Amino acid sequence: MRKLVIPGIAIYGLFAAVANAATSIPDLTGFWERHDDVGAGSFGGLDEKIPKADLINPQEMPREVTQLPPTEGKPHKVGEAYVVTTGRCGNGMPFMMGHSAALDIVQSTDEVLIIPEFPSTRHIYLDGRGHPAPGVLEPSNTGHSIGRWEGDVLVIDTVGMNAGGGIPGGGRKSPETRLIERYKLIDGGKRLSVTFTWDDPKIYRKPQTYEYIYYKDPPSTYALEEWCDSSDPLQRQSIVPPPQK
Amino acid sequence: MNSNRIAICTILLCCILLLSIPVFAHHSFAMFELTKNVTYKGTVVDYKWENPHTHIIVKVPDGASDASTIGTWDIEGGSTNIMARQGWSKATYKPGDSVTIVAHPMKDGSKGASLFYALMPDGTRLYHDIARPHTDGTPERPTN
Repeated sequence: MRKLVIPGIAIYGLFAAVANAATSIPDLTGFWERHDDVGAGSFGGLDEKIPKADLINPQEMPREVTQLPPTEGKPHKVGEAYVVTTGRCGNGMPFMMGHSAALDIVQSTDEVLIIPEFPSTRHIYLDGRGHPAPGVLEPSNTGHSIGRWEGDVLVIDTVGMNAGGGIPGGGRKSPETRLIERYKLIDGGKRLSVTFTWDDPKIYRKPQTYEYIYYKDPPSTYALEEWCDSSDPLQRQSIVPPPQK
Repeated sequence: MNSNRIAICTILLCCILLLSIPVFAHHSFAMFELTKNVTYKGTVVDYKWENPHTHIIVKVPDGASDASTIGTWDIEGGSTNIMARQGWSKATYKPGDSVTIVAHPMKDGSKGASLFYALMPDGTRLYHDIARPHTDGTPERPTN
């Protein structure tokens, strides 16, 4: 019996070490915010130093595929249910990742959620699935995302985003455009580095790449609300020069 | 070239120009002179803590040191969640409060501006969003 105890303990320790190594995946859970470390001077200046996207046809903007609902552009009436139309309210990608508001990342084994403070949660599936076939996948604000861990880096692959612009550096996207993101904790977990690479052989001569740094908020942080009504004219122009008395 | 051709070409040119404008899914900051900081010193007429944008209506009196700021202005801030994370709340201002606000004026000259920051009585600043003044040697003081 004694001859089995020591080897048994050693084998157990070996298995424990292997299991521990396999589960040492960084935890990105928490609220994260961008800071202006460089003194941009304005929100519009934050992305000025991102290189201009190398577009095949700078004059061409991929058009929305879906029809906009009939209420588009008309004022919302009190008591009327409002529709947040796709791609009109600033929701989704890429806007939510550059926004001044906080992002709530919730991480589990098979899925990561990236939750902004307005409608449009990103679901990143880590269960090994692939993307739906292009003919089946319905374009959306956030697209379809799958992910995997490469060591301590979370790699996210997203397709199926609504056509449009708004990509830093003047980039454009269509549902066929692929976004690869790499998430890595730095500075002892206080900061999160995310590298974005947009690629589409029909739009870009070369991939458009840039990095954002996010800072972790205190544990007591909770979600605030930001909403958008795309049929509200105030969403487009909310300044009303006051009467001069 | 007849007038029909001119009209068609004009329409096509407009379409091309429109297509070349980056699409900001939220309303754009393009209407503001983001590189220009103007200081508005006056009195709060109204303070609207609301979405999609907060608004501070400020009256700058006659005799102000910067004559270009005299009048009543609509200074637009961010959404309430963005402002709250910068320290703002629904109780930050009330009508009648004295204010000093630095903002980016509208390009068309109308009395509107995009909030950069407010200078509080204790010397602290409440910023609109995450943007901060230049650190590359550009004078931090507003242009006026």
